[in-house]
Amino acid sequence: MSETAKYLILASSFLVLAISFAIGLWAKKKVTSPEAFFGGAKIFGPLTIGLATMAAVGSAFAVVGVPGLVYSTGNTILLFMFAAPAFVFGYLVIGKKLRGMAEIGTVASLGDLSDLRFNHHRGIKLILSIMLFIGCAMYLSAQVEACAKLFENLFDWNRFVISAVIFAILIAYTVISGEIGGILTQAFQGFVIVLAGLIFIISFFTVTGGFGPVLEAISGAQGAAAGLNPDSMTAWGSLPGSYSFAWVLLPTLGIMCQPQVLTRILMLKDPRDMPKLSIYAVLTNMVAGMMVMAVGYCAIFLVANGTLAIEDPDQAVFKVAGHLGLVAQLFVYPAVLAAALSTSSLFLSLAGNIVSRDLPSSLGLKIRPARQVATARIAMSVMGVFAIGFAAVSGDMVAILGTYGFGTLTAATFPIFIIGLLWKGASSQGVMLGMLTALVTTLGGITIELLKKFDLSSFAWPGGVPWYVFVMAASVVVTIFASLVTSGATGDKLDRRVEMAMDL
Amino acid sequence: MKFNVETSLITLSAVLWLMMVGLAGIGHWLAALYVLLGLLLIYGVLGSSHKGHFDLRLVAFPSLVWILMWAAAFWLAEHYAVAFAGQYPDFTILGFHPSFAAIVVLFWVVPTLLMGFGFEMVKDRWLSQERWEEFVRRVHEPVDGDEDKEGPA
Repeated sequence: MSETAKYLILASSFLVLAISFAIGLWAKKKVTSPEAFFGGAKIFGPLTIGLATMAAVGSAFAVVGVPGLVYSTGNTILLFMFAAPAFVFGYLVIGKKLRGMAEIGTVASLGDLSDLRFNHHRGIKLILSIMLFIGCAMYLSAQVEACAKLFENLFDWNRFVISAVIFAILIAYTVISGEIGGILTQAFQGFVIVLAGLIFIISFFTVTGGFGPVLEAISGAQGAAAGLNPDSMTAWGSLPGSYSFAWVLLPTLGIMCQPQVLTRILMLKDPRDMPKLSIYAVLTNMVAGMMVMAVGYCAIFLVANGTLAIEDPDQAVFKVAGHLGLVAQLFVYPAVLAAALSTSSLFLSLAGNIVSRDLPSSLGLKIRPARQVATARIAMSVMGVFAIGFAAVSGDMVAILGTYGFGTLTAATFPIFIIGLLWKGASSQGVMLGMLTALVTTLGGITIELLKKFDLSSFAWPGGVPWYVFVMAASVVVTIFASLVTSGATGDKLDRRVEMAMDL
Repeated sequence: MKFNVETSLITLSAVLWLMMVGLAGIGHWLAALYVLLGLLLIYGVLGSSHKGHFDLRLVAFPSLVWILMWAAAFWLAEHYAVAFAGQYPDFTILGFHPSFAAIVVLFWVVPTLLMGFGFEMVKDRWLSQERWEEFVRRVHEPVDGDEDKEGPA
């Protein structure tokens, strides 16, 4: 690749950063109150929220990791990407109840929601804050790692410096404009991902001629010689069936309670626009799903035909883009960056919210609203710097932790926001115990996985099912059974306005 | 704890969670996926609740249609994965292995469009303008003005 091409790719990526920064600056004038800064502004339409939600859910793992997994293990991971109907199901089942809660009082964070539903139960808010913080740290560090790897194909630059520069700009615009800027930049970044997706889908058909030639290529002698497995083209791919189970379960039940989805519902101007929001979210999600399938399949086709060699599956998207030429590269690098930035800005805001509002409130400390904003800005900056430092010193470990983020956040939020909003009998004691179970089992699960990673344990999870599935099940089951024998925040003790929202 | 329909359903959901994870844990992951569909149905029914009444028409469309499509997708995916294991399939659909074609069509594209546009079709049943305005009005009025003006759906 010529030096000019490399710098053009760099320029296209930094254009995304520059536009995001400009949007953040512009959005500052819309931050008219501390609540608006934290996410309490119900001012956005369905298209903005739909694009922002898709972008924030689709992290760098979706754009880089998923095509690599499609290339190396086949269709299993696509079950995760294709579970788009779950988006709509989430809106259908809890959307109006959740949005109704935002009418009751100032709801700018998930902690505020928890306060309303469970009568300001400080224990629930504390554990929610801790769990969300763990999830934020996992996600953020993984995004830093993705940014650090972004340009390693092109330049012999220090990875730490690259991620530090990118994150400094991200931190700057997030700190300036909070969740208002967060939503708008994420919507723009979602648009970039969709645009790159369309380019890749067209390129896929141009290069391969369709899905049939891919199946033929992987089933041929050259495919076998390249170490590719034709069975990976069945629905379940070449991974054990337990992965198919986990990767259907996780998005199906997990999407509806991810902070990326919950917080955005709260910011929708008119709740009756939720069906439109669903359409925008799932259509853009379908383009993203099609893109990662196209990239993965393209990688299989090119390797099976002997055109390309891919040693590291995580490099599949860059190798394929390199084969497709400069136009594809001018879109894929910005798309990866957009995916990392959108997820990162959301989790930076979430971390700022936790440190400045939810955590102090759960400990009985009161911070004035104006000071909350200043505290959040400092917290976001510290969290961003911490994520850069952690990613720099921990190497592969951060990528492993990043994949746990989704499961951890689901275990943290499902008892409160799904069980809690669907069942008036969900008691504060039950949810507290369920959350405690989630926290303890999450820490246990991560510890076991890290011990296994460093060959210090040979523990195998039953049936090969990923550990976070057991964590989710334990937290939900404990929440329900403990609620059956306790009564806090239920019956007469349930706020009448909350009851009205749950009855919507 | 008074056992009403909601409580019974949520208790059943806890049992299904245990059954689902138990089945997956002993290697019956496909059976666990079918149990997941039962769980989705329960959440769908609970989500349709309005003042203690369930709107089963709202559950039937689009959620139940979606769930049935996923059941068919899982069955066909497994059927053709077993039928053509270790060999090139006798036929393809849109160029896909028939096992994966079931997923593309019945798990992804059709249910996604069905849920997205189906939700728009049942929008008024899901949340009418009148019901929302009534909710906003009542939420902001004093506690003694709690008279219910709208009956169950």
